[in-house]
Amino acid sequence: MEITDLQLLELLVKGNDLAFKQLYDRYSSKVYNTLLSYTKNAEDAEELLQDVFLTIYNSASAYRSESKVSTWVYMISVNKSLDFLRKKNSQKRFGIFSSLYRKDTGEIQFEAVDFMHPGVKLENQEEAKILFQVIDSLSENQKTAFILTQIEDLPQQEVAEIMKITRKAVESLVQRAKANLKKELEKKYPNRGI
Amino acid sequence: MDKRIDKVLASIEGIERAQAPFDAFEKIQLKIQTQKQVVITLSLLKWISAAASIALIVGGNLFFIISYLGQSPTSSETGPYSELFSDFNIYADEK
Repeated sequence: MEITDLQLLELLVKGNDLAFKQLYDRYSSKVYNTLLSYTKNAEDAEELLQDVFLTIYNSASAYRSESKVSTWVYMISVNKSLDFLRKKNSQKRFGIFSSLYRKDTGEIQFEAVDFMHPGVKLENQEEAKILFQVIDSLSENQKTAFILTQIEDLPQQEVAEIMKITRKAVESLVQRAKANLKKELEKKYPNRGI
Repeated sequence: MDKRIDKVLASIEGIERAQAPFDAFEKIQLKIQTQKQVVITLSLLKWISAAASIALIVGGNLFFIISYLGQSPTSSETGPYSELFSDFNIYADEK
């Protein structure tokens, strides 16, 4: 019989490193994929991946089984991602006090980049690049609801537990997100006949 | 126009999950090890500073005790007022 996530966590609390590895194997791609959708940068996503699992390792004893382990893991991932974006946005705002250029390459740090998600089908890549650009324009809640339901393909009920809102609220957020994305696409590419 | 926008919105259909970099777990383990070493070092520093404080207090008290006990008992007789005391030996010459 396969060991459950809860059992793995309990073993992790007792110091079982193999249990931690198994937990990592189960969740690393889900976590990484979520982080990538927020950060749109593989290096940042990898850095956050390490932070997420370090938090899981350190906080395993504090886990309360009120929610599923997967919900808890996604909550940590979403919180880390939003913290990252807030920090990045505040750096942009205070750009006068810090360099706007990357130290290593000299490129501007905060320009919108053409992000190519590695999991997108080849025939959809051009459109997906555009979509990931406009996802940035969404509010935090709409972005989270959209990423978790549309990219992570999680059921709305699970997203509701992750975001600590009702399922109806998730549904509403997703609808508003799609409407706002459409508006942004119309504004962004009016002359390209999109 | 709407068709194209719909195509953009539908571009993530069938998206596959990206895989984490192959060496990510090793890096996580390294961070955990570093974290453990920092905790041990801080814990050791705490004990060292506690021991040092106790040593200082005990040492300081010992110093004062030894200094106090080390004072000579005849010093008052050989001090500047010793002549006064011998002058006040009023019964010495009585017969």
